[in-house]
Amino acid sequence: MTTAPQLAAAADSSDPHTGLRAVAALRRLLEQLEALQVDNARQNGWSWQEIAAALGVSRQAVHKKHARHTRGSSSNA
Amino acid sequence: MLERFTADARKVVVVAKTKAAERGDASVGPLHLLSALTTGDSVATRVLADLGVDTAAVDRELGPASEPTEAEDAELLRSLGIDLDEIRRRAEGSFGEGALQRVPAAPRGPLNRFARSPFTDDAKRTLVESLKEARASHASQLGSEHLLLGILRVGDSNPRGPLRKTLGALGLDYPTTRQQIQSRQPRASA
Repeated sequence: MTTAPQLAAAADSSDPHTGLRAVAALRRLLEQLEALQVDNARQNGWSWQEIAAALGVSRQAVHKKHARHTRGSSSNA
Repeated sequence: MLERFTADARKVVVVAKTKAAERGDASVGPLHLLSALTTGDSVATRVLADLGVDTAAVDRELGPASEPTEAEDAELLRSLGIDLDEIRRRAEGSFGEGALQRVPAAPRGPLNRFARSPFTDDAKRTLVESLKEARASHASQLGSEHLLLGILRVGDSNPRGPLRKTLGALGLDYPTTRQQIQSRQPRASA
């Protein structure tokens, strides 16, 4: 037998409003983690190509997104 | 120009920028400055308190933030079964305190690590008007009270505009505010 709170929880989890906003929140977290990891990789001397390969994206994409504001971005290496 | 600001006034500008960034607003406007003026313990803060304007009142006028707060995001992620605190703990364990920074929605400038919100035209006008107010009162520095008057001046410059409406909703007008400031700061030359 399902209780009222369980039903409420089930209703929330399939509610598109919550679900979509949760995805948006996850995307924001993803951006934070990516910025952190890319920055760390650059500080460890990784090239943009190496970072791109690990991320599974193009060198151009990762350079365009991160190069202006990470430390150690002075070179195009 | 910032060297001519008092410490309080400089702080107001910083707090306004932070507020805009936290809310995910694209630029810093006069209301962010007004919100910042309600914080701390400057002359303007006390005058605003006298006039019944606090941070909550201004923030209500600013409206809901463009971006959810950290707390709201944590809640949303929890609904997916993700513990944001745990993720932050691990990130900070590896990379030190503050490792997981909020990434602003606004596009990044070329010189800054994180986006620095630009000032709206009204915010720039506020600074110009504030400078005039400081000069008019023969002050040696631009203080929080001049910023406050500057905002009111900009509001008055467009009497049917949204800023003037908001200031009116908050019960603020230039003459009364100026009077309150003067009563708190008796000067030889008013």
